[in-house]
Amino acid sequence: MKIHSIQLKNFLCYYGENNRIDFKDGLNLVLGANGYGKSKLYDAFQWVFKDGITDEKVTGRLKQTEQLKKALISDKALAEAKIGDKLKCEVIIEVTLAQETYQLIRKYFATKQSDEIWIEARSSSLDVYKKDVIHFKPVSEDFAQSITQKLIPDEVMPYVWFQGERGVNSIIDTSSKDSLKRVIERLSDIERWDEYIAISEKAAITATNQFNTALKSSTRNRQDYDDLIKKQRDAQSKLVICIEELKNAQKNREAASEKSNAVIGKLSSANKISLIERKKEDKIKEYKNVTSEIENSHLNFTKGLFKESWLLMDTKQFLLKYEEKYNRYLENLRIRKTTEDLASQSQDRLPRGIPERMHVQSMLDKQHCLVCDRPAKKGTPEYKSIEQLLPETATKKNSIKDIEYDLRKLWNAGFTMTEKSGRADQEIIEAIKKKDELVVRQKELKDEIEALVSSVNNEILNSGVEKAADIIAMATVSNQDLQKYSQTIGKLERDKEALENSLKFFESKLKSLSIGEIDSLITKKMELLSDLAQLAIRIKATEYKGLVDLLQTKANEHYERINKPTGAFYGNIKFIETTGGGFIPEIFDDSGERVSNLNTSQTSSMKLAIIMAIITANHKRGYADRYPLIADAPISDFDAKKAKSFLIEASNTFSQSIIIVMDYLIDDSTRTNRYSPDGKRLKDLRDSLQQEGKLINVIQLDLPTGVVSTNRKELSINIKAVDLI
Amino acid sequence: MKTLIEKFESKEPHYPNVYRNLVEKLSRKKEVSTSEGTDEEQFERGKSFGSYYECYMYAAIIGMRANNALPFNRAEGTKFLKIESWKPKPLTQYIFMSLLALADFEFEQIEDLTEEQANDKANELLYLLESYAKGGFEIIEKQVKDDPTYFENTLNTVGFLKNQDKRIAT
Amino acid sequence: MQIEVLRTFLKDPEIKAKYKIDDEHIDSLNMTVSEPNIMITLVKELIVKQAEAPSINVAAAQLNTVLDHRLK
Repeated sequence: MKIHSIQLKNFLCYYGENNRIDFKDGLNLVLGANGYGKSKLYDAFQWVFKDGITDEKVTGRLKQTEQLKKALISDKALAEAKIGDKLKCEVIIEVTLAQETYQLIRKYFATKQSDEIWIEARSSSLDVYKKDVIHFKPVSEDFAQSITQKLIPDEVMPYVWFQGERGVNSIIDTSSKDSLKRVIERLSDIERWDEYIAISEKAAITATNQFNTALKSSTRNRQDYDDLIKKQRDAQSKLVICIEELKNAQKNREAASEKSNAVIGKLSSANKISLIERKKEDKIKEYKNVTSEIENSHLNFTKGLFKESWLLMDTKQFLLKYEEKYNRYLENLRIRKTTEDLASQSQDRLPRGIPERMHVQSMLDKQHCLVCDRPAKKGTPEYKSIEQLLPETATKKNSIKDIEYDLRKLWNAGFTMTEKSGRADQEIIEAIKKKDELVVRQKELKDEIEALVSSVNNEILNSGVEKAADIIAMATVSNQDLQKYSQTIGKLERDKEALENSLKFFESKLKSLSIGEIDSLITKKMELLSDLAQLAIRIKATEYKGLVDLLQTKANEHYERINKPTGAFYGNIKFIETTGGGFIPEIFDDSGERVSNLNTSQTSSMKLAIIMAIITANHKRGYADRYPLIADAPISDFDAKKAKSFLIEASNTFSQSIIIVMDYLIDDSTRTNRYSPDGKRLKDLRDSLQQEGKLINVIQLDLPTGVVSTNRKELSINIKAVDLI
Repeated sequence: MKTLIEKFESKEPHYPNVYRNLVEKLSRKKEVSTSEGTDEEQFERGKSFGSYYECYMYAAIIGMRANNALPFNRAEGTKFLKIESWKPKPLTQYIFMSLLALADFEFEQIEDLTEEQANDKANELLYLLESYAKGGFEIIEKQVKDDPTYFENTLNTVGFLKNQDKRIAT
Repeated sequence: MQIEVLRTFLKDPEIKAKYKIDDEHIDSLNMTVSEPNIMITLVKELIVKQAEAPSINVAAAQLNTVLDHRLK
């Protein structure tokens, strides 16, 4: 098959009727940034051939038209539709097969009945036309039914049409030893060897039964014979059960392996998401802490008012005013004390003949000085002077009960407080600074959390992994199942071998009983057929190993050509045999050491090399010439050099390839948020391909001006052929 | 002097009823801040002060610094916590000292006071405190009217104090 | 095609030794000419019957018949 063109009409983001890509022989490189319709283009091929598009939720599975219905139609077309409009979504692929050109047209319809209600067709239809000189004419129904299988058989499709890392993972699952086994069984004639084995084993059993019947009727040692036969039958029935159990266990393992494959492609995204989620949780925790610290710092401001005496800042004026009054008081006190001292000295100078105590007391009682005939009210200096005449108080020098000490104490305390509150400014500045730092940190954390949230969302958008934890759990469970069934299989295989050995033993015993008793023809026939059966088993194993070796050799050829130009270490691929006949591909270095911890670029190139080997190892069938390679984002893990060598290798392997990539684009300097083809790299690629005699055809997926890829109601795609002059 | 301090501290100041809403808005209802509620709860309520007396001390300082003493009739007021229960003690002492400085009498007049005399002087100081507090509340309320959420930001509560002198000048 | 399969079968050293088949013999093999070596005959028949017989059981029975005739 050769693909000439694809036309997309209102299919997913391809709004309108005018979306056509013409493909050529050789490499067709389709360039598109994220959200520019890359995967939808791949979906268009799947839809025509398989009536479904990639199910973002289950790796390797398609979502069929029946489930999608009007979701297949461009959101822009849906948004613009008026009531009564019948919308058609259509993809037309033109191909050539054995010199005949065909058109495959898949259509789907939906009618807008009201603002909310759409009448959606239950299914899509596929029409096939054959070119008759110039016109396309419908082919017979039978032919139309079988055309997609003729163009690309189901067993080949997964190896030539695949999507990104997930697609590659579901074909070559390096963790499953059955993955390569399945590949070999599907793509070789190894199953014929199973028939040789089955026929020769069956023939040997017939001969053995014939032998046993003859023995039964002739044996001398009846007892031994019966005993042996009983044991033999017992072992035989046990073997039947064992084989049945083995089959079941293999089926279970197969199912577990499929489950594991379904999630394995998402596992790295899921792990990435859960890592970011954990980081996000940590940041949120810190954010909460910072927020509560900020709240506390608010609280600290009011606490500071009282505990740190900030309330008293700038109140020194009161202390000064107090100090003034205090000084005044001290001054007065000094004067008062001096006056009193003088008064008491003059008292001393009074004539000796002072009044008798009784007279003094009488003056005090009357509050009147009888000496000078003046009133002397209680509390007045006059009264106090008279009082001093009393013999018991005469010695008392000072009568003033001053409060200087208490006042000084108050001043001292006040002084300390103003000193303390004088530091308030500095303390407040520090508290504010600390708070501001916290606020800055809070803002930083908020930004960081938002960035993490958006990177989780992006990862979810890109990978389709919505519940990372579920995927991780599913992967863990299915891996545990895989291990469990593998162990069961191992045990059953050992049991089977033991039973087979005992059967051989019983057979030889029976044979020895038969010597001279049974027709040598029967014995000879049994031996010959038994030898034949054993031979068939041995040869199958050898052939199988030969296929594996061939696949390994081819894979290494591709692997080397993809990796060598990069200059980085790449080693070589070895298929390691596991118990039960499976193989796991691994990378070994030159000294024969197994390389663990492969990076994604190494793993991807190894898997792509194996896929190419599957195609090239079957060169007799001509897959590479008969089926074009269609790959969506196969090189997203590769650097520029490796991307180039992969594209060259793909061109050398397949006569036609359509490879959709986000690589080979650069920012468009003339338009904002748009890309343009990287002319320099593309020309370099073209020149290298020319040296190999290969052609390149470049197409760019672009968005119209003003359109944002996230606004699906406005989304449409511009398809541009890129000229490499 | 000792008696005067004792008498003063035994007083229960009154805040003007007109500012009751303001006081409630700015402080928690419980009189004793330590009696219940954590600091966090206090913050959650968006109140600047842990108790009425803190709010009262704040208002008094504002009033004193603005030299805004307003005549106050006790009958139009509500009493709250005794001064001796106010914390921290050194702050109360400083306010007492400031009142002595601002009072209309010289220190000679508080020398050697009888119980009765001390009580009179204590009342005089109390009245002075209440007048300044009233003046402070007046200033605070004006600010709240301009910006009702102003004191919900505790930094403003501190900053308001800082700018007080400037405020009077303008 | 069938002759290639036959040669593939006869590469097996064990069977070559037991039934005395040498390389020269293998080189001169032909699917149509009758064969003196009984094991080679048997393998030839297996290849032919696998391609022609309607079922595994029929092919197995035919192999037995072939031997019954040859060994008489």
